[in-house]
Amino acid sequence: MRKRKKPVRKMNRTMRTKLIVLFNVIVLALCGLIGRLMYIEHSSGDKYEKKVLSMQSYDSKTIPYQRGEIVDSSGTVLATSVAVYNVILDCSVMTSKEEYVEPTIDALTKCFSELKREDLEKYASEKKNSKYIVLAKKLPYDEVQPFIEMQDAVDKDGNKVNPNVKGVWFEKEYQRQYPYNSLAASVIGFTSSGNVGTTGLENYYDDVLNGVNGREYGYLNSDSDFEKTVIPAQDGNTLVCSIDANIQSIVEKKIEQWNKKYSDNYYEGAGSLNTAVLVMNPQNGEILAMADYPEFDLNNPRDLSSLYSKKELESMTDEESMDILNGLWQNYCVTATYEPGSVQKPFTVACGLDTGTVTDDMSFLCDGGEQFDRWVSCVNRNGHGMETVRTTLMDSCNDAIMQMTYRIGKENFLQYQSDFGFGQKTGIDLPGEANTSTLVYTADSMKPIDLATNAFGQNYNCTMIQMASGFSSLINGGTYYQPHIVTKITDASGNTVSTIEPKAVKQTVSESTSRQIKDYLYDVVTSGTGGTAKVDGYSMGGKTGTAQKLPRTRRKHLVSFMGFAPYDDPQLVIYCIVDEPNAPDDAHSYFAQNIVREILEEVLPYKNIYPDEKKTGRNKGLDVTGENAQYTGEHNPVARRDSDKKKTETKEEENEPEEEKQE
Amino acid sequence: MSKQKSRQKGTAYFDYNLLFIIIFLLCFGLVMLYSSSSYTSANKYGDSAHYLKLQVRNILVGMFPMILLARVDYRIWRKLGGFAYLVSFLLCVLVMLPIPGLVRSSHGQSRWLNLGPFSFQPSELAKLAVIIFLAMLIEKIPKKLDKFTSLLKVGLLLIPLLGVVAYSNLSTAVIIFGIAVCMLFVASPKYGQFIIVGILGVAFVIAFIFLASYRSTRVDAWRHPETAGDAGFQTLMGLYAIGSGKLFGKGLGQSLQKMGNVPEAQNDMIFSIICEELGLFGAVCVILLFILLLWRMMIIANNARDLYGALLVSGIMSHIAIQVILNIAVVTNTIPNTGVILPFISYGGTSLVFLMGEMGLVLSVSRGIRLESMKQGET
Repeated sequence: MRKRKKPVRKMNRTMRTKLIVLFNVIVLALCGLIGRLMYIEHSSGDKYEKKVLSMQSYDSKTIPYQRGEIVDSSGTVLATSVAVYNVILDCSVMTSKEEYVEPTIDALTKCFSELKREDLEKYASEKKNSKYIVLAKKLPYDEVQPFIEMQDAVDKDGNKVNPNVKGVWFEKEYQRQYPYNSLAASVIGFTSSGNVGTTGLENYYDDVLNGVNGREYGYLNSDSDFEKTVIPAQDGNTLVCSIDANIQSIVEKKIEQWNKKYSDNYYEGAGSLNTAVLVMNPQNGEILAMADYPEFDLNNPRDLSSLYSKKELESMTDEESMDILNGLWQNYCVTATYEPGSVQKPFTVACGLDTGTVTDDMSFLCDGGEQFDRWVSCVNRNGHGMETVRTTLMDSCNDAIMQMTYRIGKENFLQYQSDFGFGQKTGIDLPGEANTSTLVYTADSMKPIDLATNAFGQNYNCTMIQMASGFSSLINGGTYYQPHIVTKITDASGNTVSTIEPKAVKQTVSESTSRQIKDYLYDVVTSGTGGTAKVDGYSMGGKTGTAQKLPRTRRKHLVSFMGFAPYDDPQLVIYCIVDEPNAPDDAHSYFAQNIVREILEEVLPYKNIYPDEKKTGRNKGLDVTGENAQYTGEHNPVARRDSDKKKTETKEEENEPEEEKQE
Repeated sequence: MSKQKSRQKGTAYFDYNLLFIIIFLLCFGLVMLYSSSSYTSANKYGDSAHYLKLQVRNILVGMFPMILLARVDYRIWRKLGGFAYLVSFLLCVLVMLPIPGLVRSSHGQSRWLNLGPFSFQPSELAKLAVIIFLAMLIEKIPKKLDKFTSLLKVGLLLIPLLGVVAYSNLSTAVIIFGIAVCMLFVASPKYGQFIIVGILGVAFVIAFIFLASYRSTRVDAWRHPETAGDAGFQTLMGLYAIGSGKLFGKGLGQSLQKMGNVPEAQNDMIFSIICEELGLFGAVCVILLFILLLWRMMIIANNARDLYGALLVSGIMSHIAIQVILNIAVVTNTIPNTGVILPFISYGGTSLVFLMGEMGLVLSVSRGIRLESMKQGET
């Protein structure tokens, strides 16, 4: 082919062919490898893809949200969540290099005194691959901080001082704390297992208080936080309550004082089965204080040691102690039902006045009782004589009230009772409000004797919150406000999420009826049975109650006082009940009146309500037991609350033993 | 006709196709290197571009030998064949001696020589030296190559260097052996002998594999990567990466396996990251790019002005082909794990500089081609 002769050796044909062959062999080999790639993809692509995804050690950490706070009307924190830290050891990191182990253990034992060197060394040798060992739980930040400082410390060149401290990290958690321990315990409630509200506002507003957990995605790396995605936690909302911590603490202090005084007074045991006080603003339905006794510590709700001796606790079964705890956690003001007694009388009178069936100028002859299918007696067995409507309330005369019901009639009475909210839930924002709809009469089931006894507060059941809410409407001009505790919900940074305005539900009585009732009740306190409750210098009204409990033969009483102040423009409604005072003769409302007076003496000035009357020196120098109400009966160590041996003559018994009513 | 005349005749040629492919491969390599190394280098050095910067430096350094060798007439190397062989042999011996400060170890094997600011692997030089040496040798005795004995003689000449290299770096020895076989195959008119040599070579490799203990755990890792524990880890992770890439991959930069799972993702295993991010499609494209590169070299070799140039180019072509094949075969677990890098794409200083130097040689050979003779060559 070549014509030219060349001095330089060139590739001959064979060589070229062979080069092409070589090239083809190479191409063939590469094609073979492509085939191999396809085979891998085809045969195990899915499997390998899953392996890859499963291998991703996303360091996915939950960032806990902070549960919202509960604060009182002036911003005092009643419940809050505090960040605490768990100390976690990633042993596999610590033991990944020999030189990490010693400095890390040194640092841990130095900063956390409760950690023992032997334990840590045991982890290092026996649990080498463990990635999650909890060394300490729920430490506050200031206990954790020295370690973090040491870990992050850098010298002036920016190098870490302790580069070999590895594998320790902290897990943030929130712990619920109640700064005032037992204050408003049954209203606030507590949480269990982290952020589950169990009772009280914690339970009712659980969703509002709880936030949404955040998440931190990233690739696990002990040195760096490279490639991290953080979805921040949404903290829960804060509840602003109408509860005033100062009023609440005054109320609780007085209740406790009273109960301390009367404990072991006549029987061995507490001063009363239950003492409960409700203070609310009649002009808008806001609850200012709500307390019952005995109380419990919110930070330690399962601890009964303050109420029972060690011996008693040991003898209790789990079931028994759980029953006691459940009773303790209940909010008496909302969940308990009882027969109210004579505090019902103003409602009956208001019903009569409002329907026009009873007028101010009417008078009734009290001859000591009324005859139905059996005799129902008045407080005064001999009769009060002629009673006007006003004196009926002042004397708390049952006979006159019963006679009024003849004029009112059961339709009117039941209609008004329903208007006042009896037999219905008030809808207060607390859990477990008692349903009393089956504990009141209907037009069909009500016989004349039921009407007569209902009219002075026996034979039907109500709750304290029903009573106080209905009473507020009686004295505020007739507007029924739904009682509520939470007035505002704010987010974690303090911005208002929603405001809960006072909810005027209905008009119960006319303004003139309200004015008239207020006037009567003023006289009850000034010169009637409610005198013990009078705070000298303040105009106030109220009504006493002494209800006989079932079974009537036990002759045990629930005594109460419900009042308002000041007279012209009522700012406070206070309702106090004492269930079975520990006294030889317990049928006296002045147990409750004394508590109310003591509370109001401090609360009225605190609320900037100034004395509006001349001081007369009335009730001067009385303590919570009341000078005239010192029933320090002979202590009877054998007597038990339920032993009925002792028969005491009652001076102020309001009604005859009645036949039981189905409850 | 004299040399001078033939030079003046025809148009001067320069293979821009080849240059373009080289530049493309280098740039693609930088992209993949950055993608596969950014995570680990950020963790290790606090700078995601740590390896990228070093590789850019390597490329810039490699530009000098490439441009130099492309401009200088390659025929001057003919005289230096024996010298290059000797120098590389001595350096390979030197690197085996435990001289502190001069020899650097990595992965338990000493392969690096420290020379001031640079360190380099003499075994990389050995590959180039063998190509230059063999090209010189074969050009002198082309007629004798049809005899099997002369093939053996050439083989005997190579054995000292081969042995020294194999002592510390088997894979490089295999590559050198492969280059030699390929060059002899091109030069020799026979076929049968090479089949025998090929079989012998495979037998030699297998024997060596089973003799060296650390390599036989590699064999175990090769056959059962799932159960081989740490030894099979790299292979297995590479396979996971390939398998999870599917047809079109997860997208550039989306590899999960590079997040510390595939060890040294920017080195030997970079192809597995290419498979994961660009999928089978991307992998095939890369392979086609290499085939294109080899094809350009084959064209240049076939049209070279003289036999020496043709042999040089064939040797370089074999070198690149063998490295590509071995690397991909390792990544796909077709053969046991050996440390062979993917030319132009994997991270590595010495090998890149020498590869670029070799490309300079090829370009230099291409400059010697006269267009009219090329036409003849292509017919």
